[in-house]
Amino acid sequence: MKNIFRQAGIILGLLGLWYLFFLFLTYLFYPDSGVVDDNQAHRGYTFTKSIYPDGGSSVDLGVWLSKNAPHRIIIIGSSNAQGGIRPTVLQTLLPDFAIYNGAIGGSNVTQLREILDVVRMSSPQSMKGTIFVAGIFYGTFFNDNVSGQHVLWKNKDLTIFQSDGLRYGLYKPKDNKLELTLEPHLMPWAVRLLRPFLFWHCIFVDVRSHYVDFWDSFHSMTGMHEGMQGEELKQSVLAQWKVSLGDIKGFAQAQQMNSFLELCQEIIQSGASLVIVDLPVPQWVREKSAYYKKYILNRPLYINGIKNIPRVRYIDLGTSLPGRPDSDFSDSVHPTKEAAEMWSKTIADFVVSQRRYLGF
Amino acid sequence: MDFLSIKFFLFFFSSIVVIYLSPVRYRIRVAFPVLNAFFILTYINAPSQLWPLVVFLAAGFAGVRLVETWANRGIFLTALSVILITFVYLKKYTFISFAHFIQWPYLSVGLSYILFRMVQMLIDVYQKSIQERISPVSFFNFCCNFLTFVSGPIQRYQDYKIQEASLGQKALKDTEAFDCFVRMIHGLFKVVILSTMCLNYHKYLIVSLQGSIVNASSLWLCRKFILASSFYTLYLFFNFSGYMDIVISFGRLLGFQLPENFNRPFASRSFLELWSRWHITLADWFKFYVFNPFLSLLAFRWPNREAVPYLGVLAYFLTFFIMGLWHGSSWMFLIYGLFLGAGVSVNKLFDVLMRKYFSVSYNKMIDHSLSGLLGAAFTFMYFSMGLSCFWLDFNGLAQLMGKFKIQGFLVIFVLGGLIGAVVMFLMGLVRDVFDRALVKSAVLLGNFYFVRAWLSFELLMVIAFWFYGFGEIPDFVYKGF
Repeated sequence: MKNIFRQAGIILGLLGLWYLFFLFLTYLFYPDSGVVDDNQAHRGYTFTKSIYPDGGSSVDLGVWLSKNAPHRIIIIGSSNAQGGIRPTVLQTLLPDFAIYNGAIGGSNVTQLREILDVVRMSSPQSMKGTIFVAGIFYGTFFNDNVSGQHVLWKNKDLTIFQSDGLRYGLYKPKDNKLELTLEPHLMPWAVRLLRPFLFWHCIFVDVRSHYVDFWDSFHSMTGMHEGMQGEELKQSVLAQWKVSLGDIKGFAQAQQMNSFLELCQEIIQSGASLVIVDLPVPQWVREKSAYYKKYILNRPLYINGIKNIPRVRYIDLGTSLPGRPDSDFSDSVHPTKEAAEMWSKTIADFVVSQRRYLGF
Repeated sequence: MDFLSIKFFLFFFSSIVVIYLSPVRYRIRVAFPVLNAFFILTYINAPSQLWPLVVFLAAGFAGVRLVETWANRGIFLTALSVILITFVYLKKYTFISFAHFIQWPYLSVGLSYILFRMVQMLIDVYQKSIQERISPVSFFNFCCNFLTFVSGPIQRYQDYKIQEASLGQKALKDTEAFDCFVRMIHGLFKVVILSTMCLNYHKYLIVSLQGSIVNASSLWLCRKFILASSFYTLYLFFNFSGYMDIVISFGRLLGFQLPENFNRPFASRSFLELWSRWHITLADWFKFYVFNPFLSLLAFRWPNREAVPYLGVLAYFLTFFIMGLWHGSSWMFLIYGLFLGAGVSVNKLFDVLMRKYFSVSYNKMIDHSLSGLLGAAFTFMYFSMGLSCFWLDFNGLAQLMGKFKIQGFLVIFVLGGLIGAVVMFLMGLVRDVFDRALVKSAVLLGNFYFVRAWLSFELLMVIAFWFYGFGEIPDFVYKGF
């Protein structure tokens, strides 16, 4: 028995040394500074990355390290906001802001609220210095119980955001929300102690995304429509969206619009400001998607509502960038790299022009 | 108690202390049953959840004791029937859905493996292969050994008794203890990292597959299906063999020599050979207690020497059909059983016919590097296609059948087999390079600190990935059987 415990002790001791070694390495190569952008995670100071096939971010950890920035912009939304609103571009026009892209792929209003909850929990005193940039589009307004989205943003009864939050034991679930397991003042330290694991997390995600990319290169979702062109391709893509967004009867109704409006009010009540960016979609989607048309029909419900809320600004990016071709998009929703730069610059210009109204 | 939990590791290392420090005469009679009982109790939240297991064990013990006392054919068959009917009832098999099942949730983990142990004891006691009188404690320890309770390996009672006697008896040397940790951490690596990656990728594939069967092109579906089924097989292998590595190494630390369950299964060049390399203890059990009696019965019914090979084909079909059926209670496992039965019986029939008409055995045919490679690849593909019964539901299978028809599945089999052969060939080359590198690094690999540092690094990876895992690390897949 003595030999068993001696061997176990040696292995655990060496494990401790590896931990310290990697903790040192992370501070050497990733000091606590810089732009927080989950798409450029290795350059950010949380270097946490998406664990989801369609993108996402470890917002739950990053907010604890960004909480002391005097002014910050936190981008929320789906994968088109994650890829389409580039913190590096915003940073050039808004140098006095720490910019954090915390968008999560497949988000709907519920998931946007979850991000707000954690940001509010981490830094209630910093909310006054925060501008939320909510990148939304028609696909944001689906119901929580849509089965097509279930795998993408739910794991058992938890949303992927909650699963992510529970990963390191810093949160526990309570009443369908996350609750802290540590005192708030200990959280930044706990996040720092997790650095070796975040480092490996980052590497695993890299490996994962490379091997997924590799396989994707010959059997991606686009490949699903292989051999299809023109109208047939478009109809097939729209059919996929139907699976993702559920029955159109329950989609983008007054209930979802009001829920979004309540979220806007909560953001403002927390002390933060809000810029709503209605992200564009390709022309053919605007023409053919019944979901898009329903969203446009019901959109005034929240647009009219936000007129009465202070420190909220709305920009329809499709209107601000008129006549853009469908080649701006790599698929039915995501912008190309060039288009993302253009979107980001337009948004940054808009925020600059509205600074005073937003309270900055 | 989940095997992949801090609680289990604490329990296990506490059990080492308990076993090694308890007086020898109480070790098997008191310490070990208490540990086994404690382990089982961690699975339940209320006493009512335990009753079905208690009744099942009591029925088994009563049967064994009755057959021990009166070695009567009628009593034996009655006891066997009672055990089987109780098992089928507790597992809620779909084909008896008309029955009034127990309504409250109860513990069903381990039932399938307890069934094997009880049936084996019953048969061997009846056939006098077990001479000793089995005490209630020995019966309980054998059926509910916490090391093998969840998913095996399946041991014969006679082998278990030899191992039980050495429980906590041997003072392990440093190197022996270290070897156990090496295997344990390799097992964790397989379960936590490799099986999770394969399962995640498999899930990633089927998310789009399931929603797109009707809309997508056949070629796209075909590629998805080949990849999804192959990655599921890899997941199952890493998950199950990793679990075995953990359990066997735990057993060795306690003094048990548990039987091996895997021996490079993907090197199998035929479907028959696969079952001497994959889930070996299950296949051996079926060979001893199903195949042999079936073949004897058939040979007794048709005592024609020339018919024996063909009767063997039939016995193989029946044995593997039952084995497939054992895996689950839904109709999908009926299909799985038919698939397994068809695979081994066609394989056997081909062998019989080759011997008869060309005087050459199947094994001889594939005893060539190219034919062996093709044999291994097609065996893998056939097995993977069969395992799709584990992840496809009936509707999904029906939709695929509607899309592909039988000829489409044949195309998948041939295409997947050929792709598999290329992949296996490339992996063989990589393995050769790796083996040569290992030989050159022999000095380094013999260094005390280097190997321990490497092992602890592997453990760090496991812990990091444990955090990273896609929300959760997959449970042991055979736990559900």
